[in-house]
Amino acid sequence: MFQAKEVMRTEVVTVTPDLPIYEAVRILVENNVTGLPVVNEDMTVAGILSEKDVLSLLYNSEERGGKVRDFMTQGVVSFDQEESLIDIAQCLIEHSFRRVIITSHGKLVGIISRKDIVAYILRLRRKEKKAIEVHG
Amino acid sequence: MFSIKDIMTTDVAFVKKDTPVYDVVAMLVEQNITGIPVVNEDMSLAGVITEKDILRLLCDKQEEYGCAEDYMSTQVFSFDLNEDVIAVCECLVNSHFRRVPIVSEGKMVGIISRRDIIKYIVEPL
Repeated sequence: MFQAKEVMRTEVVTVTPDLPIYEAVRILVENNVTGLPVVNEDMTVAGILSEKDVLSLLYNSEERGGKVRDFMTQGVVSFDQEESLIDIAQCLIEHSFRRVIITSHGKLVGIISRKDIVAYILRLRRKEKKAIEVHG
Repeated sequence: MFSIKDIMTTDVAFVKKDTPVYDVVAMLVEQNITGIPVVNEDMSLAGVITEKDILRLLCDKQEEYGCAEDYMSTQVFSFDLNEDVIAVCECLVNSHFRRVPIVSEGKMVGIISRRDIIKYIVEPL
């Protein structure tokens, strides 16, 4: 069965809890990602900062001097890199968040978003179709 | 104050109800989008199909794959072009979906996503 580590992205842009929020928003936009894992110095996970967490900055200008820790979502769901991709897909169907952090020995090693699984579904389909064309 | 028109994306990809679901998957992946409106023949909104709807393809393996209509969400929030953009922003803060279609005279004319608002926060017009 497919494991998390076969699909996860390992080049993950992360931020620290004490980064100014405006810098984090720029990092979101410049890297074209919808969420950033927030990690401590030892790469354990402190939270996730998603687009949704910062939308209120549009009309709430007093908040603009804050830090990542004031906006991030804590208590995020993570999976070990050996866990099943199907379990992760089920989790992303049942919840409203769109990415889960992948860990090994409690430290961040990757991320899997809905987008990664959708791209994987497309690759599986194309492989299947090719197999049918070759073998009839 | 800026309006919905200033922020919305008008060059919006869409599909029909009878578009095969794997064509929808390919569009999501190749155009790097997280959801796509499903429209009727007259461009009125029938629903939205999102990455989340597509995840079912991995979990429930079937022999026959259907069309957009079989996977789309039909309970879709939309806003009229003349509504207040803050209302759109509050809706995106308070709900878990990440885009709302914008309609004018019953037809879809654009979309506003969280990303459109974030871009505006970083670089106001």
